[in-house]
Parts: sequence; C-alpha cells; structure tokens
Amino acid sequence: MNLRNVILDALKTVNEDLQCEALEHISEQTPLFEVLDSLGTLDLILELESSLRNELGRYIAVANEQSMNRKETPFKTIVTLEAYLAERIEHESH
Amino acid sequence: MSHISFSNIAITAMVTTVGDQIIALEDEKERFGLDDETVARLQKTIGLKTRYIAQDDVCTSDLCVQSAKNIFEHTAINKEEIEALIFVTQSADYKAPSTAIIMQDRLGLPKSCAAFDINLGCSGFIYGLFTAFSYVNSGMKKVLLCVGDVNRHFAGEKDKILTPLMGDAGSAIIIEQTPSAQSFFALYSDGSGYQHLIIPKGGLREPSSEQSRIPTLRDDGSIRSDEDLFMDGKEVFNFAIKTVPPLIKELLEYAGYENDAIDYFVLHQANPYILKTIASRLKVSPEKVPLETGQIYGNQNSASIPGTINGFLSEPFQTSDLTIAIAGFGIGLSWGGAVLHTHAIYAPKTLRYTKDER
Repeated sequence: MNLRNVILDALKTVNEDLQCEALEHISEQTPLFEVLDSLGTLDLILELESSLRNELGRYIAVANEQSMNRKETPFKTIVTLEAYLAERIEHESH
Repeated sequence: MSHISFSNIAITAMVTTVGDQIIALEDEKERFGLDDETVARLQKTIGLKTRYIAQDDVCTSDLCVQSAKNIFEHTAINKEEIEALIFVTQSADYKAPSTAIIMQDRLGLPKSCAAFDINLGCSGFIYGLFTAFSYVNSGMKKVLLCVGDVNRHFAGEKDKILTPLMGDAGSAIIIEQTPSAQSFFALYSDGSGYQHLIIPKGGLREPSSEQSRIPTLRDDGSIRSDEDLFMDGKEVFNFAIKTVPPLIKELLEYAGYENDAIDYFVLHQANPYILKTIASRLKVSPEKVPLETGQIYGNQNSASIPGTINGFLSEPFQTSDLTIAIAGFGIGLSWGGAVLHTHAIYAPKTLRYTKDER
C-alpha cells in the first residue's frame, strides 16, 4: 500500500465537496491544516479511515488527541500525515 | 474534584420535550446560503438529517414545564414532596430572576421548594444531576431537575456553521431516595479554554454595543455577531477526544466495573464521529453507545443525555434495571461523568411541544 497515494486520493475526494483551490495542486509544503476547516479535517479523517479499512481489512482510528491541535497536529502537511499514518498502522498491528 | 459516590438515590422519572418544528437540512439551504456541496459535507461528516426547533415565542422553560407536567400526570410522584427545582440552561426566560423560581409557580410546586438556575451547556446534565443527588443525600425527599436550551437565544440566525447543528429540547428528571446500588460522579473544569466556545460580547466584561450586535461575515464563512455563540470546532473536537475516554475509564475504575457491566454509555451527542472515536478508544461495542440524537433532533446541549434516553432508549429504560455510564462535555470548558443504576423508570418516548401546555 502506498500511503502517499491513499492520502492524495482522500484529499481529492474531500475537495470534491470543499472545492478549495489550494487542494487542487498539493505539494509537500501545502499547509493542510490551515487549508481545511474543522469539517474538512473530519471529512479527511473519515476518508482515510475508509481507505485504510479497504486496504488493510481492519479499522485504524486516525483521530487522536492532537488531530486538531494547531501546534501538534499530524495534519500539517502530507509529509507529516504520511509519517503519522505509518505510525498508527504500526501501532495497531501490535 | 475528587470522585463522589451516593447510595440509595436514583432517577425515577425522565421526560424530554422537543420543539414542534421539524426542519430538514435540505430545507435550510436558502436560510443559511448553503450550496449543495456544503449540504453534502454536513450530511457526510456529521450525518445531519433533521432538527427539532421551537417556535419563536417558546422558551426553554416551556419545554421543561411540559416535560415535568407529563411526569406528574403519569406517575404517582407527589408534587408536594419536591423540595428543590434545579434548572440548568443557557437560555433563561429573563436576565433576572432565576427561571426556576417562576417554574416553581407554574408547576404548582410548594413554596417550601428551593429553586435556582445553573448556567451550563453540554456538561450541564451531569452537574445538575450531581447537585440533585447531593441535595437528596443531604435529606431532601425528591428533587426536580430541568435541563435544556432553546438555541435561538445564542446561535446566530445566519450562522451556517453552528446553527444547523442545534436542536431545542427541555427535559425534566426526578431524583429521589430509593433502594439502589452506589452511583459515582466526577466533575471537571478548565477555564483556560473558555474562548473556544463563547458568546464573546454582551456581558459585563465586553458589554453590548451597536457594533457587537451586527452580524458580519467571519473567516470561517459563517455570518454572526459578537453576541452570537462562537465555536472553534477543531479545539472542541480535540477537547472531547482528549478528556472523555479517560473520564469514563476513571469512573469505571472508581466504581470497580469493567466495560461489560455497563448496559449503555450515554454521552453528550456532540457529533457521531466524536462518539464513535470515544467508543473505539474505550473498546466499547458500538451498539452500547447511541449516537443518533444529533442527526435527528439536533444538538440539545444539556438535554442531550436525557434526550437520547427518551429518544432512543425509552423501552429498555422503562422495562429493565440498567447500569449506565454518562458523560457531558462542552462550554467552559467543562466536563463530567457518572455511573448510575436505573430501575425501570418512567421514561416515555420524546414528546413534541404543544402550545396548550403553556
């Protein structure tokens, strides 16, 4: 499973409703958390959980206590999000 | 606060009345200027379908009075034995006096009944219940607890972020001395987060002015004034995920129960994803955590826990002995929980408000 592609696909789906210009051409520097409102972040979490369930055949809880914390959110960029998801999957495997 | 427990005190009746207007999200597109994409997002992420709201001339106390009258009409509970009326709300009839005192007269309760308001939102049912249990524990026979809000009092008329989530409800609950196993409570506050859910102006700190009453377009796309409720959704989400699972865990530990001993976890109905996440963190089976209240009735603030029981769990609560865990969390920031026992209480299905009751 390519996590980066999972994230990009999820963001594409979220943006179908959100229609945010900054999400149309995502780079590693795109400040996801600043671009997404709370509903958008929640939508992204739901999309990611759904994709991960399809890929892995089990539920991975994507939200944590810092999900929507400006300073510590793993949703800052696709790079931080990818690292976070890898850690979540690893954690849930044990 | 340290944990507190009570013995031989329990809820014996619970009734919730909701506003009589059912509004589907689709029908509010024009009012809030929602496009099809935003409606789709709200339905997908929060599951919004409908909400029940009160007419413009109906107050929270009207909904609670109907609920309380229903209890007195359908049970053997004697009004003369009500020794306190506690009204938890953020939408009082008047700035002063306390609405509870007016309700004492409307309900024909004895003048020997203490009556006062508590200003709290989504944690309010737990705080009110704790206060009621404490009063009964100190010797009162029966306490009537009323909780709820009519949201037009503080939710901006054009606020497309917050207002479509809100529903109007008023619950009445009787707490009395009765044979029952121990109940357990824990209450918390963190005022450092007060700005995350706030009506910024219109109080003494930031007085009302012509400017503060004018709704304007905000960065989050909503139209509201500084005298309307503001919510930082991201911060409130974090707060709920961070505080509620540990709260339930510590309560169960204090009570000496495992998850299996709890029949239902009835939590404030903030949004279904928050509830699902909390259930997942607690490793609780989803069918024990009802989460539809917000989607059908709207966010009922302090009435959302009784609103969930009357709305979706009326049958088991009326027919069975149950052990439940409850938790409320929200404005303040404030949160609290309890582990309680109920014994086939009077808890009919949610009522809709009828004007005849006023």
